[in-house]
Amino acid sequence: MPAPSPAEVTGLLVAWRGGDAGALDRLLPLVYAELRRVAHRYMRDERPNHPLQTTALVHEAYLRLIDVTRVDWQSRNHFFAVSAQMMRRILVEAARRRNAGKRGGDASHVALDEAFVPAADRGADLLALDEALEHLATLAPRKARVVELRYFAGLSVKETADVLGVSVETVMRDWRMAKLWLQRDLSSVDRARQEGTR
Amino acid sequence: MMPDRFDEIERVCQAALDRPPETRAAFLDDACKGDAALRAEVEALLAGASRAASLMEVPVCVDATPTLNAGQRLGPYEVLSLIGEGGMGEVYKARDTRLDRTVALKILPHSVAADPTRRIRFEREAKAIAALTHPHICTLYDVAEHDGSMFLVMEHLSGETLADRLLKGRPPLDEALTVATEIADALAAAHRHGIVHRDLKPGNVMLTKAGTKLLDFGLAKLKKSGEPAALFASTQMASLTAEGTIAGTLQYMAPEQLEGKEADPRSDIFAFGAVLYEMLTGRRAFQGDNQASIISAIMSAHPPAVSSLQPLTPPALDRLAGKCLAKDPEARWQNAADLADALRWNAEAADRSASGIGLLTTAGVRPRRRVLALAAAVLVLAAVVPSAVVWWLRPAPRIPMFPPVRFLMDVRPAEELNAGGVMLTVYPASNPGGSGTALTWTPDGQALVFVGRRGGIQRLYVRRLDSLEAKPLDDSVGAQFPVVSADGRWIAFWADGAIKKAPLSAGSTETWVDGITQPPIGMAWSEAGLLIGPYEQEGLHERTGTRSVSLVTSGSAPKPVTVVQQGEASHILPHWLPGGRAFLYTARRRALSWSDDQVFAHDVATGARTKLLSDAVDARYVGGYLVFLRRGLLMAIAFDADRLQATGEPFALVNHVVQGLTTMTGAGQYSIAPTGNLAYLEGQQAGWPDARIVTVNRRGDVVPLATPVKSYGMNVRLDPHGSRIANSVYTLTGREIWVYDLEHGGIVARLGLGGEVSANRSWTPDGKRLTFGWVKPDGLREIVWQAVDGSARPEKLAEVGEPGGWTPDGKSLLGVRDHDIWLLAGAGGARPIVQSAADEWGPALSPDARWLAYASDTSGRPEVFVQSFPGPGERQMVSTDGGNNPLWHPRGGELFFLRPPDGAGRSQMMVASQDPQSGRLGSPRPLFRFLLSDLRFYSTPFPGYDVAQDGQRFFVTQTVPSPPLRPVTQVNIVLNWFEELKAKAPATR
Repeated sequence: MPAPSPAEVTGLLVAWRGGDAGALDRLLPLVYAELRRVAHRYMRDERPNHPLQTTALVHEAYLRLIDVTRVDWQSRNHFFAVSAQMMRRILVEAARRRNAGKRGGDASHVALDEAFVPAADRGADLLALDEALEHLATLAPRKARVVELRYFAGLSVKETADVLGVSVETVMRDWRMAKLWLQRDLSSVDRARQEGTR
Repeated sequence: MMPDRFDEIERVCQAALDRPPETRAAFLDDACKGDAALRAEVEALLAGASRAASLMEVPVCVDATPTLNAGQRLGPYEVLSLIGEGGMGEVYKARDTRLDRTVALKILPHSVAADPTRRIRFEREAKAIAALTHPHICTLYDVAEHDGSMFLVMEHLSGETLADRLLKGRPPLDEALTVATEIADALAAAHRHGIVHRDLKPGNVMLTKAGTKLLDFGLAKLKKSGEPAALFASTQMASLTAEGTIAGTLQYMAPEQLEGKEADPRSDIFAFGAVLYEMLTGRRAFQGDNQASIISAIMSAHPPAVSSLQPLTPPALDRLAGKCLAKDPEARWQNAADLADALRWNAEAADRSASGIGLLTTAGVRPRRRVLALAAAVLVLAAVVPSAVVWWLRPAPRIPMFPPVRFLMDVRPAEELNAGGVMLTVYPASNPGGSGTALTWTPDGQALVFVGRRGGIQRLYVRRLDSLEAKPLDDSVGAQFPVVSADGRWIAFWADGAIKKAPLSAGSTETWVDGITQPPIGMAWSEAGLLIGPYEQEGLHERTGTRSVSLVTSGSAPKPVTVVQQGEASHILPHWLPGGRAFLYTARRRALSWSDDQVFAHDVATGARTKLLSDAVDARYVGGYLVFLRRGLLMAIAFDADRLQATGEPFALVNHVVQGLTTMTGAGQYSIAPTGNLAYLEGQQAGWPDARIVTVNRRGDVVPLATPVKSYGMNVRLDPHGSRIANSVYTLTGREIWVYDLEHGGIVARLGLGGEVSANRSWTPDGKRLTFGWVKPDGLREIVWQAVDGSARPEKLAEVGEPGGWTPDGKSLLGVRDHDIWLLAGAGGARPIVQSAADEWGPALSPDARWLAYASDTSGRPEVFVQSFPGPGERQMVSTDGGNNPLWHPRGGELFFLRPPDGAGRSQMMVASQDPQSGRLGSPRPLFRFLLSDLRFYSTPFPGYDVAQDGQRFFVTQTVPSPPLRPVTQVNIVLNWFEELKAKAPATR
């Protein structure tokens, strides 16, 4: 896919924010491709096996894709919100593939996702977390979004609050509760796994 | 568990956590009275509190994997294997398939490729290096780019580095002298071309069968200036020091380089001396256990004489090496060619058995130094009496009383002005483009400063009216938004992540406000300070930014001074009013267009603002008038600057003045000198990318309609009779819906005027009205409908959601709200009809209103489902391998949908037949493939296409590739334009 111009991507982002939901669909593949590009580049600069936080990827993708002179803060938050979802899907898919011990899909997909290998030994955790998060989303959707933004896009509490349009206090309480909930879900998964191997 | 129960658990949990641990049990006794299950649930959660605290504390990480694989193609280059990893990045062996030769590819750090300014600098430098052909310099064939990263294509060498050779011990004298002479020859050749190596060390010298080859010319500069963005500083520093990259390189660095001064040829000579010393003695000239001790050795220690370590060394060689290693560059060999000659002489002398060498040190050195000293004296004189700047200091001349004179001024030696067109067409941009005003007069009106581009390099140029050509301003690469100080002596501009200032005459650029990552939208400078428009600033941990105008007074950080009000997007393009008591700015009310922009005056002392103009952009004050732009028309109005009051009526001055060459800031490409001269660019604004409306048959054949090429939105909608088509059109002043008559041709209606309509719309079943989302002129959003004949104003139906189609009886409006499918308006009010934790969108009702098709990502990717309407009933998943954007055949019996795009943006139109009895849909089969970037079928939450009445054709928009913008090569100048302005209307004084 050719690299999009910031004007184009910014236009989409702004249009989406302005209510043009169709713009999101054109935006997503661009964000995805850019996240991948940025990841590739960092691999080139960083040493192998040097883990890279997704925070860096997401911020970098934002700077590269968006003409920041043309967007306001709210648009920036929208971008991060999209990226968080994207990172989550990408990482969970990669973990799933790694777990399965094979790479599914056609060749172009392998090439695309090569860039996103969740750091070693996190694969299984990530799948369990994703599942627990799905469950949480049915009970408390906003808390699940808080986790997505904070963990998968590395947003700060303040940024998360901006994205969701709630107060910092609300995010902190959501985060606290979500962690409690996920911790319990994850440890029950652990237990189930241990029992399963016995 | 139900969400209500969760809420209850949370309430108790949070309350318990807010209390000290020791009081929690008592609290729970009370809070869970009689609900043992609740208590158990809460206790189980609280039990994990300490482990939960560390859960997800660090955001998820990804690992790095190798960059290139064998067999991979980068343009004409086929990767063969990874050779190594240098400080600069990975090096691969590859084959140039065009010339069938083996080459080496060196991948450059992303920091170089991503930063347009640094990239331009690097490309320029690389060009110079590539021009170097010398038997002892590794040839740089090409600088290429692939998938956004840059790499060097170099001569592939086999052999070992001098560093490897030295590990085996000291080489024999004759070998050392041969290698040293060849290095000196290589340096001399490079220095003649003005290229300094900057990082000469044994690791950069290859010993091959064809002799010595010097590697990596000029790359050190990249590394040195390649400071990582603050965000990543810590990780990069860690990796550098961990590998000892810095420590390794330091040992050959000249004292002046360590002091941070610019390296010159004599710095290379120092490094050469250190390498020679090591070859002759087998030990490093400067040693230390850590960086600090190495630096201290280089700065102050004198290594023991070569002859004291190797007594057989000829004394002349001893002196030769010592002279390379002098701390003061002036005391070193001044020139690598002399050094090479001296070495050759030494080598021959060594052959003849050492004798008579003592003569060589005086050869050819003195006269050269005298010339240098003379040149230096001239430079000093020039700096003390800078004749070129004298006119800046003269008081501004009085306004001359002669009629206006018009002419076109070319931008030579620049090739084009600003050239911001790059931003819309190609990315990564080869320059930062232009979001702001690209030209400004000096206060005396005698010279025009503009942003020019030549050879792909953007920088400032100063064109004096009495000279034939403009002069490039040194050290202004990548500059945007030039502003000249009131005394005409300084220029400030944005470049390379900072606001900088430089003397207009000559002299070095200094950073004024650092960390401004993107050009601010507007700058203005007077004695009262520097005003800057919205910008982003990068701090240590986070980026902050502003949407308002900020003020920078000497030495202070930017301080926001205006307050963006509700309904405004940002405050841009500030300009001072005389006396610095107040300034003008433009309040933008729309993100995408500048139709509604308003000009305000801001009183600095009180902070109060006064609205001066509506539908106006980029106003500036000159001699009793406000001059401003209204959609390309330069206008003026008499203005009382003391009372901040416009008087009289606005009047037109010049048409077709360019506003914001490429971006949507609306910045006027004009400048008026206080002396009354006008400069402006004539032309059109860059708009949105174009598209055409086409039909596509079931085989994928495309036939364009006779409708005009416009900047259309994606969602084409046919009316229920198939005779009219509606689509949104983006203009510079807003977004509206255009309706075309397919049978008779021509536009039949334009709706939503004065607002920004959203992409999604639908016809009412009677074909009389269109329903659409709309951002009203006041900035608020609602769903409205409006009669297509335009006989009435838009009428509000609902506030929230994206409107889809109406039920065939016209009673209810289907749509998407909160990621679920709703009836948004109509009979029975708003209510959800398909609701789940997953996202549902794109509802499409079958013509008989019995079946509802929609997309859902419940499985983790979009799939198309059909269920009976209004339900309840089981749903059938129709797509088998992902699906989106379902639409029914207008006469029923078939459902069309799209396969989600792959990574390359390819998608496919699918169709599934419906069994008339059971309503079940059969297996989908493919119709045709298309590219998203070409045919814009795919859109969320509603399809970009519509289906013709006979179900045989689809209506959709197709992208029209836009031609590159024409370069701007001339500036319109009107001398003494003020006379013309005054003649039109009396000014307020």
